Amino acid sequence: MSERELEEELRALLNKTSQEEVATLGLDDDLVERLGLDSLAGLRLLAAVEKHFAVRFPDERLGEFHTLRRILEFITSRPEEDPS
Amino acid sequence: MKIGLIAMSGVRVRTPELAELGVTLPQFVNRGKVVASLPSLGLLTVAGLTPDNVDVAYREVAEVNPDEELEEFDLVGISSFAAQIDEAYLLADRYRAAGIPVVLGGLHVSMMPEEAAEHADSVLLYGAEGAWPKLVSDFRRGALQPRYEGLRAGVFEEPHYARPRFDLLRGRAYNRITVQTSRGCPMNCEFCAASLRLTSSFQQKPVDKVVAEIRSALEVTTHPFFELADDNTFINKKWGKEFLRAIIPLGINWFTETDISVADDDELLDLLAESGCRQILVGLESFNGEDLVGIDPSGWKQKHSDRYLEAIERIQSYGVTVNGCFILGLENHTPDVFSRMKEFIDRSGLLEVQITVMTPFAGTPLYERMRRQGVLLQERFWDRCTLFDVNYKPKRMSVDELEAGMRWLFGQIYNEREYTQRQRHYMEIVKKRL
Repeated sequence: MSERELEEELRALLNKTSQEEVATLGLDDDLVERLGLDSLAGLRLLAAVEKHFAVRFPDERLGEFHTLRRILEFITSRPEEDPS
Repeated sequence: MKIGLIAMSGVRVRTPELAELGVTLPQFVNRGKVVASLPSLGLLTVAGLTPDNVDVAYREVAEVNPDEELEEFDLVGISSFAAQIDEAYLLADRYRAAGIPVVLGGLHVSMMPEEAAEHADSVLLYGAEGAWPKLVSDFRRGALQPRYEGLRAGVFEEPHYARPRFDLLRGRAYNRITVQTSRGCPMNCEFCAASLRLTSSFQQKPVDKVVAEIRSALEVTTHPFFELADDNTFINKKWGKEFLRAIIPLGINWFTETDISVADDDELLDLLAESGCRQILVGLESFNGEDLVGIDPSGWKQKHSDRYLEAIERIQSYGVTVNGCFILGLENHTPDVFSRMKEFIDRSGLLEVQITVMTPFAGTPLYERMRRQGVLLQERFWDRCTLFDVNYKPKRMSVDELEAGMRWLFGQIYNEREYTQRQRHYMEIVKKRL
């Protein structure tokens, strides 16, 4: 999957999860701030990303994934979730 | 004519060691900060009750600056938490010295009207419904009375009900908006200093009125998170389901306070999740049934305490997080309560925890009992009614033991590692539901 396709897939997922329009969201925009998410909504969004892309964000770094770019970079690095 | 409605905001912990802890463990005062930063629904309701031909301004003041110029009004109405009441009195005194009449109202004022009357031209007790319109009319004809009593029942019925003026919040940066669906709670816990002290019985707002209020708030705010300003929203499950079905189309995220019995109703839990309820705050008070004897007159909490763990797991499995509230310093608590509470919280899987110290707010049965028993540390301690400062001599430990144990427990519960674990737990629950 190209980076462009990955970004589109991520935007579609965020759109569905947050029920907010993310098409105009910049790669470095703060998701919580721009989408008006509360802290739990931010976690729900990361959970959706983990499930959809079969990745697992490191617990101690959850607060770092607050922009599309950060999430995309992490997915691209593909540390897939251990199915066990 | 212009009326200034002023809400005293912000609450500061007084015990220095605890205030310091708040800097290093910010989560422990999180909930208190959220509550203190909410707009005053009481004053927005007062604004709604004000005749259309009177201008109303809504203001919030955290601290009174004696050098600051006062904004000019014809009449000022001030409402405050107990912890900020002295600041409210200071502000009231300043306005009165400037020749501007002041009305004081709110929960503390309703409980201590004689004290408040020393700083006001008039005090308004209980809810504003049934009293504020008359107060404004009396004021306009120069006949303001020293005391008004609002209705204690029928507050949501016409012609007394008024929709809160959420439009007064336009342009302000609130991320949480309060809406009330009920006033009072039949449990009548001894320590409770919430709206039940203002009512003679449980008051339930009709669903269509609540929905209209939420729609009205949505018109003036962007992405608000709604906080229901109720003592116990789901006392009436039939009403609850009707309400939840009605708000599903609104697509909001929201929070409320209720009791553990919601865990018994699958349909209600489904509707909670579907309607965007992200968290319910439940007063568990303690982990041990014996600690809960006498908390509420019917013994309801004690009877339900042995199923706390199962109920928490069940509610959270629906993606609705439980903010479990515990009170330290109950009659039965001994110095081993802190480690035992930590153990229970670890086992519970609670996604959020709020620990406070027993606080004898003025006007509560707890305050009256402690006063009779002579265990209050000071006669007047309103500025220490922060839910974190100790104001009485506990029965089975010393004040120092309670304070030190509380600090130890905060350090155990509110550290980064525990917070991260709760975040991960929530994400795993969400993933199971996707």
